[in-house]
Amino acid sequence: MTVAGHTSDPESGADAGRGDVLAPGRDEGRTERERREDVEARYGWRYTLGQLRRDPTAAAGLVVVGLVTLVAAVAWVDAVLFDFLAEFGVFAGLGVEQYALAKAVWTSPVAEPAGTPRLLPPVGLENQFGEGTLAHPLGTDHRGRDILLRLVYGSRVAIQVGFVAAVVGMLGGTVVGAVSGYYGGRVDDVLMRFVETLYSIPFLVLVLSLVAVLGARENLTIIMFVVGVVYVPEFARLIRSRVFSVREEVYVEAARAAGVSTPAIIRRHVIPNSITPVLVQGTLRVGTAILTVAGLSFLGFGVNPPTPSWGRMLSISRDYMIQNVWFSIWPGLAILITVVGFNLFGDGLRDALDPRLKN
Amino acid sequence: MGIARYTLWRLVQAVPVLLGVVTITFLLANAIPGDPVQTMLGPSPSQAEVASIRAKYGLDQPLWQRYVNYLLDIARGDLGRSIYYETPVTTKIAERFPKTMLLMLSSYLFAIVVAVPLGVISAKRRNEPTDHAARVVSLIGVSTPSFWIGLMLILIFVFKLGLFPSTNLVLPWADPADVTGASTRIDVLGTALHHLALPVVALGTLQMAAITRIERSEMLDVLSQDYVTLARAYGVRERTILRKHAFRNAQLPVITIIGLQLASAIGGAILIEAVFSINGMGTLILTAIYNLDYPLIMGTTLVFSLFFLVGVILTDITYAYVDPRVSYGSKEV
Repeated sequence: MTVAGHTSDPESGADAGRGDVLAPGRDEGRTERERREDVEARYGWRYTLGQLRRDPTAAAGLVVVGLVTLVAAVAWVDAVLFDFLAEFGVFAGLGVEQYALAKAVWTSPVAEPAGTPRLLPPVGLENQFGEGTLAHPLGTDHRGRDILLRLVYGSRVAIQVGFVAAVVGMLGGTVVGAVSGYYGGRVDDVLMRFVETLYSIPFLVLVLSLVAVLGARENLTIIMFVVGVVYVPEFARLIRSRVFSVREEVYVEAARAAGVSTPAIIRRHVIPNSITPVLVQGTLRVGTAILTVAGLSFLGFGVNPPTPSWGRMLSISRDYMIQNVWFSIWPGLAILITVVGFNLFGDGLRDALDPRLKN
Repeated sequence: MGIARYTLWRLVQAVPVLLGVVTITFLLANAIPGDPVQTMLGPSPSQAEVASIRAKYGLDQPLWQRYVNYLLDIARGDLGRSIYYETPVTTKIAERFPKTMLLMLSSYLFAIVVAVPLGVISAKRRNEPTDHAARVVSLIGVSTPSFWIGLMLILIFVFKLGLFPSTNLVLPWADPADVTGASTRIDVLGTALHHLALPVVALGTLQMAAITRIERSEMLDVLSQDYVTLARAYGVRERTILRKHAFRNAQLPVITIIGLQLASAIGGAILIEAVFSINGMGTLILTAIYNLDYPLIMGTTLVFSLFFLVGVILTDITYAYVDPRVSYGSKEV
């Protein structure tokens, strides 16, 4: 659509290439195996991980991403899997219910405990309602529920949404972009006009309209997929521009001459050779998806109460900002730290996969 | 092809995209599951009432007929009547649009004014404390939800310090008679800026951070070019290099990122309007969605998209104007 607008985005890494690493002449006198090891050492996952480890900010990002994902996984098992298994009578007679894990260790993230003061401040700090206690390190919300526990269980929604949306966008975009870029011509024209049209409706406006149309104001599953679908155009453009260059490579021509079918060429050669920028962009998009869905929950679109989610906590905390400021600080910090983690990791991944882009 | 023809060409190119957007919004709005008539009339309306409302809004016609009518109406500048407000959609949008426009343009102004010097300084003092600080600021800026920044600003500057008002905007060109506590045009301007400050910082931070990042990396890129090394070897002063050789050449990607950020700025504006209770386009589309007011949903979506499209085209034209290397006739590769 544009001359300048979308093709030369330096942040996307769309023009990444690593062809210069293997200079001509360096393979002389080496065995096939040595050559393969050399390539593996320069391109493989082990190399990438090594690069990441040497980059302290990327390593910090990886640690944050890992920790939050782990916490979210535990919360997910507790909130969803226990519920799911109980449906099938796995725990019949044992009295196990949703949030059993949390309850066993501490307290349920959704129950409103009798006798707990509401809107308690964090430990050691005071507000209108007195001093916080060790039992509720970050304080309590407007219903006396523990804020730390609600944050822990809110991570489930954030991480789930982030990953699902990014994966939907990546898969959808890769398919559309690869087909469009490889076939070119008419197919490309039609697909790209469609992608452009979707791209011309501002992101949040499109998400809001789709969610409203699908009647999914409180359906998180649909919201995750909608956010993912809205990412499709971006990934489609990214992979399409890579495919255009890969398509002209000698090995693709060779495969075609050898009679390999087009879908197989796309699958075996074109996609693997175009995937690097998609992975980097995907990691960064997990972060933006978390931000988007937090915004949606803030506006009242998302999980049903009492299920904890960071965006919903922030939206409720608006009414209590004078009584307890901390209630509105913690969920925002949780979002901030998580998204910083994904951004650092994504940037580090880009540098590791493509050192030429490093500044 | 000259710049005028290029502009014309970009506008012509936008027509099919706009038609696509109209089609998508029409299909979206007409797939709404809840019956809007039901929403309007309450739980048990009479048959006659339902029929008359259906006829009034043309809901008794087949889908294609409604689509053709919708296209004809848009061509005449008519976006239908809002079911919720019972006024023409265009009236409602005309009433709300200036505030959103004011909010967004001011945020961009804030973002550019802060980000460009920050990026340049960051690149010039690479790996020094100033650079680290700038990078941390921009990282946090791109990772923080704008609505939370808004909440925190309200917390500090409204509740704790009492320095700013927390709600709505005042248009700087409003009549002094309509603004409380203002008697002259200068007063109105002051009140407008006072109201604008917090929402602009909340909305502009993301843009500011994104522009800082790109400005820094572009400056670094340009500063490592051969012609800069050559200029240094000739003994050109560092300040001159920075201003004449590096800065100009680093601005092109910055223009691009400004255009690319427009979509997220529009999304941010919707959230910020909700946080600061600004009655602009953002709160209008939310009202439309909460009340299943489909003519209003279609109208607001369309206007937002048009706004976005115009922004992207303006960015492209600016880019082409600034960069003589862009051949105007070339298609996307």
